[in-house]
Amino acid sequence: MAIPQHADPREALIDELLAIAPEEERLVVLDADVSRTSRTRRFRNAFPGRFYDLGVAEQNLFGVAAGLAAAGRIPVAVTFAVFASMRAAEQVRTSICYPRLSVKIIGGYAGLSNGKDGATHQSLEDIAIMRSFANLTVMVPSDAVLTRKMIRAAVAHPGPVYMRLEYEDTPIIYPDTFGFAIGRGYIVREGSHVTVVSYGLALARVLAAADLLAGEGIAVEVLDMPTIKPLDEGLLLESARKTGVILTVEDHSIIGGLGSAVCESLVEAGLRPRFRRLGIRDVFTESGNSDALREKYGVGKDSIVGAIRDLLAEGRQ
Amino acid sequence: MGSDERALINFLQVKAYELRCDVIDMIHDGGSGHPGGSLSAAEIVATLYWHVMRVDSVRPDWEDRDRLVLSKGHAAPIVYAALAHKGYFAREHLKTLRQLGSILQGHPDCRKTPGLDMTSGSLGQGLSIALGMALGARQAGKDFRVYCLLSDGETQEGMVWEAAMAAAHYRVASLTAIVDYNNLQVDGWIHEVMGIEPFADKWRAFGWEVLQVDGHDVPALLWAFARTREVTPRPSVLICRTVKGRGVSFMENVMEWHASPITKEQRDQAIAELQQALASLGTTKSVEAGPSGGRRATADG
Repeated sequence: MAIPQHADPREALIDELLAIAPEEERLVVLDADVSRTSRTRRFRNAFPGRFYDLGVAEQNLFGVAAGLAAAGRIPVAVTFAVFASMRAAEQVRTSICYPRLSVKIIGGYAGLSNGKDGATHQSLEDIAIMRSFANLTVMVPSDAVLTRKMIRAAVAHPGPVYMRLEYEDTPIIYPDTFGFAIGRGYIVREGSHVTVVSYGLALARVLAAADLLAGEGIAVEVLDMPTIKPLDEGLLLESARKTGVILTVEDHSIIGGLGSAVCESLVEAGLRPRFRRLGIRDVFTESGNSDALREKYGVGKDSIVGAIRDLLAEGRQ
Repeated sequence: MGSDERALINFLQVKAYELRCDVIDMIHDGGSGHPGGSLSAAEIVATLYWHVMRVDSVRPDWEDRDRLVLSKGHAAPIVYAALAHKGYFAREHLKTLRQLGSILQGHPDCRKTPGLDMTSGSLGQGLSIALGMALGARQAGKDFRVYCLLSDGETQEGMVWEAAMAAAHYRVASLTAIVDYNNLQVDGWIHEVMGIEPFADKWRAFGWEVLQVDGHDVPALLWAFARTREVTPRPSVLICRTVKGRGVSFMENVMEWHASPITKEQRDQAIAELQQALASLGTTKSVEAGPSGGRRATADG
């Protein structure tokens, strides 16, 4: 069988939940009227007694998830990232994180992956918000392989987890045999001139930019941070010391996401690398094809290439 | 009415006033708290813990126990008093309410207080959580029941109605909501701030079985809770007409006693009134010694 070159993380998520369910009888899946898009419908069809649709009521979705967890179940609660992080922010913080309940929160259609629906449905703040809640592990897979390993690790993790998911076909980056662990970042491309730190769908664009720049003799080191919180600071600082030039790239606001997290670590460690954040620059976006939006709002491959060149040029002045 | 039933009723009436004494002392000692809404729920809480709920103070994590979600989390003092009386923790902790390091937080923290089934305090969230617990029972094939105590003002939160809608949709007959309808909220009378009437009609429209009782009438509460066990497939709500600050003459129906410290003078006067009520019920305040497990009110402390 041919190994797929691209896959949609949301299918991978459900594939893995379907594999886990027979072994883990405490697993239950919840949705809020987006089960076609999120594909939780597939889980419903396979395990109808272990699925609840709460309708268009995200606050109740997460309250119910908290109650299920308190009663000994392992709930995976699925909605769009924008609703998980904002409509239900307080429920996540106070009913799930504060009592440290083992709810696995899936925020789908994150970043700009829902281009056509427009700004109301795009999530540029979810990492910033979720990162600020104590007791919450915050993760984002960069391909379908990591998605499967990540949800399995999340289900086994004793505590609340937020998993951001972008609903789009994305290149496979990791081999099936990859050993994923919560809290670990990964060097997906070694380099020496500049470190680019990223996560999620943006990682593939970063790697494409790195390929292009390699042709110009620029060796880009690419770090994937699938766990935003707790951040693998050791890996980050080691690379920062090596290259002295850091760029963060995310389909998220430049406020509060990975860029901010990396800043926090670098400055507290006493490092002063040349540093820049790529992300949505504190503006609302709009409707459009997702890739076109990424180009327009400064997180496309060309923007990444440009930012790296600029950072290296600054260094030569 | 048999003598057993009369004894149970008297026991619960006395217990409610004993809990009220502890609420007054607790809030006085702690320097702050919510007297009004704690006192209005005394009969409800006594009836739940000493008759209705299947609980065991020796096994606070017992998987088959009935659950209580105190959605009106600010009434924590009355529940803390009940838990102490039942023996979940030593009475000495009551005087540490809201102090740094206390197992008794200003609003329920289930990770700190033995016997608490859930963390709460931000109004509106509890019914959803209670619903989730009831669905969890269903998932596990267990028959424990889940109770959720809400305030009247709290039902102004939209999330409460999301939960109500879902509980009826999923036919969760093991879920019972109790609304402590004392008619007062922080900014004044309910009907002046944000009217919730026709209240019973709203619950019926959402598909719930509605039982309306005087929330200080123990026989009525006993009847209503028994009735909820017969109702299927709808969830049930007890709309309990109560008096905020019940039992203390200068607190009854006074808005300012929603949240307030209690001075030594106020404490002494309140305790004197409560002791008088206990005397007329045929007993004075007794101190529960040691843990008391078990199920039926007449069997344990």
